[in-house]
Amino acid sequence: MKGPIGGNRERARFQALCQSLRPDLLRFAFWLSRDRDLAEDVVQETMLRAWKAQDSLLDEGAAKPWLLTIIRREYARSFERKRFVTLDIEELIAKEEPMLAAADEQDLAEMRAAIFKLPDEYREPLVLQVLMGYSTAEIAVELDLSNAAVLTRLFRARKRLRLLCGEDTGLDPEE
Amino acid sequence: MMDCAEYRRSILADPRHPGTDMLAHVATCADCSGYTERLLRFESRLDRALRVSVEEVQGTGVAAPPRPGRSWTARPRRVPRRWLAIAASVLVAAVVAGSLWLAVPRSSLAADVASHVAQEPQAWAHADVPVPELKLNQVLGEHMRLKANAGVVSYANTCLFRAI
Repeated sequence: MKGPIGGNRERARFQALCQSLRPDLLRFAFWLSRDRDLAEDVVQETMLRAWKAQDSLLDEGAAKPWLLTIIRREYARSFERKRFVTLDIEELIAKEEPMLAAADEQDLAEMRAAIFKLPDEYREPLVLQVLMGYSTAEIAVELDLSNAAVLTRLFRARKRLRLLCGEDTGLDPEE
Repeated sequence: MMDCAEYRRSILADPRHPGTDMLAHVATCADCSGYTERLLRFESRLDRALRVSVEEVQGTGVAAPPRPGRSWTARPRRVPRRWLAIAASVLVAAVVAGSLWLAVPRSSLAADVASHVAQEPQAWAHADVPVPELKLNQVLGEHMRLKANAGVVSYANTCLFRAI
């Protein structure tokens, strides 16, 4: 559908669209927050806001980035509501250990723990690129960064991740 | 022409979309070719690690066995706070109602006494012979005394009701 969303049929389509995107949104929210409870809350709130504002979505093809933007805002709002929040990575990992260890392979569990340890500014563009299939330019728009800044963050993210996973980083370049 | 350091910086930033200059470099550099191969294997692992299932995120998935030396249990589904509040309110209301029910007598003391005495026919028999004082005092016990103008007491007995 190309055009404004309105009317019962379009609303039903919008609902179906949101449901089809929900798994990806939930994954993104989880890696953003590193907290399953918070991820569910954020996605729930996102769906509610999207439903109320669905008339502002002019192109169904833009639904995914539109919803991801709402998720990022909702996640930021969750920090406004909970002031003085400090994050202890080891606590986060311990809390989500069932999640991290749910991977069939040990190296995937280690990879998930390593992703948890990445700083937000590296983890977020990496998740957008690998999981959501965003291009460098799209990440730059979403995070309000230059293309060069996005590439630098992605480079640092993978370099740090490889180190955390015990990869041979002998041939990795310096910055 | 791109050098190895520049190529590896670029491929680390975006392994899936190499530019033409990157492709040109890796085609002629065995070290960078091997490096790329290892990096793509790492990338595949990264992709799989990120693609957690919805069931895993929601805590309803089948849990993998714990790693050696560690133990954990699958996260139970959260009960929404509002349901806990409703449940607590219902419980408090039930306790209050139960307490009131137990505290309030089902019938008056006078009605209980009349009902009980009805089961002792001799209590209703008309008699002018007073109960011996000793017997009357035993029935009244230490804590009760009759008024001076109470008249003749022709029947006195100790009965148990209301478990007293």
